[in-house]
Amino acid sequence: MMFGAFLIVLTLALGLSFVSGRGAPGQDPKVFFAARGQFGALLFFLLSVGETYSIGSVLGFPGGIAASGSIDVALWFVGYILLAFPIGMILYPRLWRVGQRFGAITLPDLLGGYFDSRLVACVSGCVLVVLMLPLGTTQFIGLGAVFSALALPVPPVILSSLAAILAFLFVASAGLRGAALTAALKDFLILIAILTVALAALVFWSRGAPQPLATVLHGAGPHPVSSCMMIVSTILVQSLGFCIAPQTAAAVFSARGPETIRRAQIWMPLYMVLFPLLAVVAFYGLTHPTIMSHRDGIFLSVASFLLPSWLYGIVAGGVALTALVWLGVVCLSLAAIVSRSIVPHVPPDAQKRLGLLVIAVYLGLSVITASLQTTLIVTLNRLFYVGLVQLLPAVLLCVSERRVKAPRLVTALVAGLMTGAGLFFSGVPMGGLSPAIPGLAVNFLVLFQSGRPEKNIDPVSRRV
Amino acid sequence: MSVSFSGIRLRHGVLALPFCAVLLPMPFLYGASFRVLGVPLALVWLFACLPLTTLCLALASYLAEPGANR
Repeated sequence: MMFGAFLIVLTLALGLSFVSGRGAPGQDPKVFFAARGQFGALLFFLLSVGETYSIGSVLGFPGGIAASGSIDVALWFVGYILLAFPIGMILYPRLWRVGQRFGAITLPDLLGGYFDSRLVACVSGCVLVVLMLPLGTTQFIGLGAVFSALALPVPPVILSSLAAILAFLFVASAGLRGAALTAALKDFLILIAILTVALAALVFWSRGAPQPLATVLHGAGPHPVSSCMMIVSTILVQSLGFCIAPQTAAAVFSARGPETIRRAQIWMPLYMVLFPLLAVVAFYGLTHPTIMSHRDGIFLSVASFLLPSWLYGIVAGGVALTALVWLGVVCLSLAAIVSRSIVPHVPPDAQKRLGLLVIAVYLGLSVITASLQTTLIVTLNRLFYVGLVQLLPAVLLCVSERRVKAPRLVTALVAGLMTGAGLFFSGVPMGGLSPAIPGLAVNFLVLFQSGRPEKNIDPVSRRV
Repeated sequence: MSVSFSGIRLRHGVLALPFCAVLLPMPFLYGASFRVLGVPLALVWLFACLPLTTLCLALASYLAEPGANR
């Protein structure tokens, strides 16, 4: 019964993806990868809130609270996504306009076009590809949690491989348009899933002798100053990083115009009201420690404990779909980056084939890395942003129409990345400060070493 | 010219509001021992900032209306 409901959800999604792909054969790679300039406010909204409700949020957010028993994760997680929206309100329309000028569908496309340098496009592309591997891993760790919750008599690696094939079919069938339509089904399901589980948790709260919340959920820890510094600096870094993530850039370039972006952007914080409900689920898990099993699987543990099996199957299907849709969008950005910015001179009709090959390799690598390691989802999420935010100075130069020489830009980027990653992995104590901030400081120092970058006085469109 | 410039500044000011609301009280709220139904105050305040941010974005979009598509 439970597995049947799970399968129905996935089949429905796959069907939707195929239907949206029909009638558009032999698509232009720009349309396939980025649906460039095609989406109105509703599709743009659905696509760009996709990251808000990735598996990192649905499983990682309550999992992080339950694993630590503290509010720190909840504070920085909600804080950075929330504050990314006002930044996006200013940044996205400008990014869209510059992107339009250079015919860009990815961030490396844009940077390479603006600084008129293949080196910049190639280096920023490689940085993004390396950074996106932990993200794919994250999704497969989450999918692993869903599969283990379904308790099927098949080894997890085979299930993950099947999921990878399914994700591949999603993107191969209809590109970004298919992903956006499947995102609508996924959002509807995830809305129902979170509402149902949270409501059930509230209704059955007193069942099973719960511990008082105040004793299991800690406020400030033993080092409040450094914890607070960690929260504030992580919020700042990640809210900026969120706005330049490859999948966000893909969504921005898919919008019809700045006004579309602005209209959709207004409603995004309200869509975050599901986070308090996810927190309720985490609190339920904390106060009922007997049902906690896998740390990242607290949402599913609570759902399986409280819901009838068919409803639990739908919830698990919705969560799996979240990962698959998100993987689809990220895979498409990645494929576009590799086939347009890293591998030189690929003719347009070969770009789609090369892109699909890249997607297959990426999915395969993600399945392998997810089966090898056991890092908490939220830790991988932080690592991604420490690297990603180093591209921010370059993006800011673009949108403020300022210019530096390409070698200087690349040196600044590499210096920032090495500083940030070095501090992250060495674990040098910095009083809670995010390692990305010293990285950014080095990055800006190199950029501004010979004074303020000059204003671009001749904004010629070189490539359209 | 000056009118649109002050409009832009006002719009940026409105968009800075959520930052002030989330980040400035954080050091005080984070250390506070007061709880609402067992939930620490810092988290309750952050959730209250969700509708506040939508309000700010709507206001900023309204302020951007004239010539927004330039």
